Amino acid sequence: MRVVITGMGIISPVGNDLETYWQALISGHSGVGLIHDCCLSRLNCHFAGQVCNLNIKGFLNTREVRRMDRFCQFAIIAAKNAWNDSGRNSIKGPHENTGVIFGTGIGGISTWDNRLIPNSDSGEKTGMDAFTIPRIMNNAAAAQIAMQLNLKGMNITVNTACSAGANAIGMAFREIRAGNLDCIICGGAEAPITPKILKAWDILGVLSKENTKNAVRPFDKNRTGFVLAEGAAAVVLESLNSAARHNRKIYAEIIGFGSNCDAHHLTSPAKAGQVKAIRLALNDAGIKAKKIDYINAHGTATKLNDRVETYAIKEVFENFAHHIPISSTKSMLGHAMGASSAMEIVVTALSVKNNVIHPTLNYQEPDPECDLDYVPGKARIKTINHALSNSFGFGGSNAVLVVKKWKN
Amino acid sequence: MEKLKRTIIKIIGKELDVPPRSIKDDTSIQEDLGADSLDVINIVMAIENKFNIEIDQDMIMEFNTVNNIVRALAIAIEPERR
Repeated sequence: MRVVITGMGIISPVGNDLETYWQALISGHSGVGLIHDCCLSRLNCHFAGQVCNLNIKGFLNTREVRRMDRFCQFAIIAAKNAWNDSGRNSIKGPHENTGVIFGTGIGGISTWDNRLIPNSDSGEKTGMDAFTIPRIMNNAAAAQIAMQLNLKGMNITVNTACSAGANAIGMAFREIRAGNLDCIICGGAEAPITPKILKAWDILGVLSKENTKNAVRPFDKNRTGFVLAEGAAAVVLESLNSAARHNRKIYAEIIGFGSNCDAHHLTSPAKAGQVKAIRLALNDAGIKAKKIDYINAHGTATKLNDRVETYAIKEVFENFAHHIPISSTKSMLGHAMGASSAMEIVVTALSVKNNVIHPTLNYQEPDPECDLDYVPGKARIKTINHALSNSFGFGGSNAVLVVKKWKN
Repeated sequence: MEKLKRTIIKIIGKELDVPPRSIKDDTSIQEDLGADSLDVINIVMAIENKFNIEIDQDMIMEFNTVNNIVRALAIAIEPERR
């Protein structure tokens, strides 16, 4: 069974609809800015990719919002937009053969951090109530999407840190390809910009201390790490039969998925695992490495990630690696953890459809250890028949997807 | 009792995000106002905090209308606060 993308929804630091998102990325507009609503005095990193101007009330009523953490609100709005984008004008249902597979890194952490952990010297009471567990549980997003859209198929939450969204989409792809379901809403959501989570990431030494809009500089010699980001992306994956039966528009086709584990270290990546994941995806797609026209990199702008990812790409693609344009979406959005890989699939699908590659922003000085074509500064027009999207999560959880231009 | 009733209505209105004037003595919290089990727990918690009392889980089933809540509480609350 062939599997196609028939709808997409996005909530991001550069815009909350597909057109704004796409235009911002190909124009090289950064969504990174000074953190608002957060005490910054004990933090080294004061910048993040934040979601602004989101019309939550247009999608959810006050009573619904009170039951949902911010990550869950993002997930539902992205999912509803994807649902509508796929040409479904109403919810109705029940949809017995439609499922939800959604990723998140740390789920309802903003409820924990903002409401339940009082500042030790403030003496304030914790805000615990009957909605606490429903708000913090990781599978709240997938469950709420199913409730809102009346989707009765399998409902799974994927929790593989920064590769969660890509693993969710990959698993959905396999379920539909196997003929188990007609349609799955998949993707990822994250809302991690809270005081203690910022501090905890800061301690790991992966956040940039540059404190400018241009702080995230993937593959640059002087890169200093990433900034945290928030958002969600939802993708309606559908069997080609179902898409054709309902005459849906098709963005692109998913043809390969590679998922594995480094089994090496919780936070340090391993080249061998990444190489294997890319090869698994190419084998699954049944295409040779030279067919890849574009790679959407994991590209976090940490010293280690960008070097290891570059080495992994060179090992798989050998000399051809120098001929593949590679760009990092995180250069503009920051790193939205479990959501980022899904947000990157959305832009990869649009690149494959439109034959345009968004740039890697803030790339100035080449690093001798990162010597590939990172599409610096401005967008590039190129025919893209096959694209690869890399995602490598903490825990050594790697997920790579192959996206193919839609041709009947 | 009127004072207690007004307080209960205010709490229910706040927890369920409905205007207090739409809550009558015999309005069913569940059937008329759409409260589910989580909402009822939150209402009970708010009452516990307001009156500094503990309400046993067994009592929660009786928390369905303003009248019934007032009846259940009256016995535990000093006359001047009713």
